[in-house]
Amino acid sequence: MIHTKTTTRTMIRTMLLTFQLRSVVEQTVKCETLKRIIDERVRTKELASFAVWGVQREEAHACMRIQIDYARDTSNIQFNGSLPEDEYSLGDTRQLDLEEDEPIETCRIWREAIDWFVRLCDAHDLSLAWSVRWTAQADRAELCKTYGLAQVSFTDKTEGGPAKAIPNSLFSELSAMFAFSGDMASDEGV
Amino acid sequence: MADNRTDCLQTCLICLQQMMERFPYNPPWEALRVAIEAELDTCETAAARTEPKPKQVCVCCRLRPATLKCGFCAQCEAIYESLPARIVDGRCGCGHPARETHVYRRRSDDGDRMFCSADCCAVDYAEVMSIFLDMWHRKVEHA
Repeated sequence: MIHTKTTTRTMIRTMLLTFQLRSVVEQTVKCETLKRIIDERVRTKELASFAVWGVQREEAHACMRIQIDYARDTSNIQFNGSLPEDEYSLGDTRQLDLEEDEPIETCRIWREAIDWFVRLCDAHDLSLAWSVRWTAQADRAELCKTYGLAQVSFTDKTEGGPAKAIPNSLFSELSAMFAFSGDMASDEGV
Repeated sequence: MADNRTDCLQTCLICLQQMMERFPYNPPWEALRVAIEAELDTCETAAARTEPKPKQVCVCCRLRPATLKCGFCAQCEAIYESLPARIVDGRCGCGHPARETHVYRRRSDDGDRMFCSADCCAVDYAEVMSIFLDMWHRKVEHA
């Protein structure tokens, strides 16, 4: 019974977390491949992070990296009712698809921060691109082949520039690091 | 921020609470307190949904137009949820006593943060969004 409760709890949390990550994609690059990666590789704990970049002439001047720390779940979601021994749940979270118009809450601070990020990229004529990083346990070559991914070719100019981490107000496993290039901060050369 | 009706109800509620402390065990007063609180909630909700004066900027982000009578824009109002001040016992997380009829709550996974006024919300917003605001102001000034 405890195992079933834990499994159900984990599945619900994974679903909500996935929904949060999908909403980040929807607010930025709107890429179906990235949404598919989130759908399929968060529950297997193979997706370590993904980044949305503001790119111009093969140089990235803005970066938003969403980090997933699977070991850091400090949520206090608990189920008070006791489930019977013969109750079973779906083993595949894809079968628990959420309705598109279902009002599920996402982090409002992140929504605002991402809105700012997109607005700043737009103001500096940066186009949005994305990339992913896999966890150590993942078969990177196989995953890249599955999703048709290649090594990032642009230069990261955000190193050493202003940066700020904004935690997610709903999921302690998630954090977003926003970074900009020194050129963008001084508004020269972008 | 509050209208006359809200102020009157708030004053009435404080007087009633003082009476109840001095002379407890009087059921009609408790019923009256519940009725006033319900009326106060209605006033606050109605006030918050009334359109503000045109060209007023949000008291929190200080950039977007205010769309609510309390002076907030819709986005900031979503981040800083308004709650009746009495539920936080007159004092909130930023250390100040409650100054208005309501306080504001920003949700956080490691404990919600309470703010006693729109000014405190503005300070918090500026701190959280500092990297974006700095870049935005620089861009606007440069343009």
